[in-house]
Amino acid sequence: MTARLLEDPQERASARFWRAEALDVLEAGPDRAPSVWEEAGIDGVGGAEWAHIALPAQRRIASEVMQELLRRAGVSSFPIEQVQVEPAPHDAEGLAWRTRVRYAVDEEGRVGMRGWRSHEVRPVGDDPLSAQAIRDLRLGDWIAPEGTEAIDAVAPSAGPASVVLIGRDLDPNSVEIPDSWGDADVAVRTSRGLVTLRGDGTVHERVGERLFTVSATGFWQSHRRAADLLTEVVQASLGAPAGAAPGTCTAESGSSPPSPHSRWVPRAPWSRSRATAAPPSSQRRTSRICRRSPRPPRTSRTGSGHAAAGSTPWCSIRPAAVRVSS
Amino acid sequence: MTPDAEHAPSSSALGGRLLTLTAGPPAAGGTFVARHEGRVVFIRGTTPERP
Repeated sequence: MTARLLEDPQERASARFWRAEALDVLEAGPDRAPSVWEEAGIDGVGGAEWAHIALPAQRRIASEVMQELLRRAGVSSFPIEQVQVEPAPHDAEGLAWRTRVRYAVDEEGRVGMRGWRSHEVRPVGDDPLSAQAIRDLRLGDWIAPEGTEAIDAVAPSAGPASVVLIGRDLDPNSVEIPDSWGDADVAVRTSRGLVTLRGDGTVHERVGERLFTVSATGFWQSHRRAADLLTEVVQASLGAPAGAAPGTCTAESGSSPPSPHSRWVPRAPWSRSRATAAPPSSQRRTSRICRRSPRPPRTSRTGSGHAAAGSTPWCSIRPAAVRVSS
Repeated sequence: MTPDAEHAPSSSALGGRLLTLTAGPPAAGGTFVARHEGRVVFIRGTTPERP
């Protein structure tokens, strides 16, 4: 293909590598497909670099990248070829999965996303990777009030969507909520803190039977199925009986004792009622609860066979047991 | 020419030097690795050669 260098090759003559953007395809590879997101093409928004690659090929390539990373990390405890990126169940199109989207806002208040390796804000158009509840906000058609630097949109698995306008000096009184936001919660985050205009600054996430309350600006896995799927996969891998509450783990089944590098994952030490009643700052609170979990008891270090689900307040996850899903 | 190429004129206004490259294996971050006179070039917007 013909590609345009991002950097000036004279200035960057001594650089170990250059970056370039493909402009013109002289000989199309077999994986090329009509882009699912035209606005993510040349000079378009970043973060969807494979929008022009057929979905099965995206997964194959992602598997290659993952395997190469593990190889370089010197992982030898399991067959690296077995690491395959798979679709989440029922994910036929690979679209509408982002439940956490940060939009950028330009000086005129136009809402978009930044370009690849660029600070420029560019229009998102159909925004096909974002969850429907986020697309329905139609932020690309909206002009943000002066002082808005970014917008966090959240499409949680339970309850209304959330819009948080971010700007150091943004005046919360200057925000007029458009009809297109429906019943979405709205808040403004300035240098002085969070001001809620509608809702309490939290969103709800359902994972299995549990309902979590997390901060609208806090971390949560972006993919709409990630939390559910991770729970299911870990439970299945650890041999927990189907239907056991998320967070209930058994000891690992391998004959080798957990290595010092194993990650200790607590059996949820909080009851369901406590999870649902978590206060607004529960994103942080959840972390604190996890840290407070008991250290693995020494007697369990022999790791022989399964412990009964629920009787062991800890478990370890071996990387071989975790599959990555797109 | 692919649909992508139709956008080329506006983008070349940015003035970067043009190279003709062949994309190889994937790199992290959504790019693919090509080589130009021995130097690695990470390219966005391409697809890999048939493996």
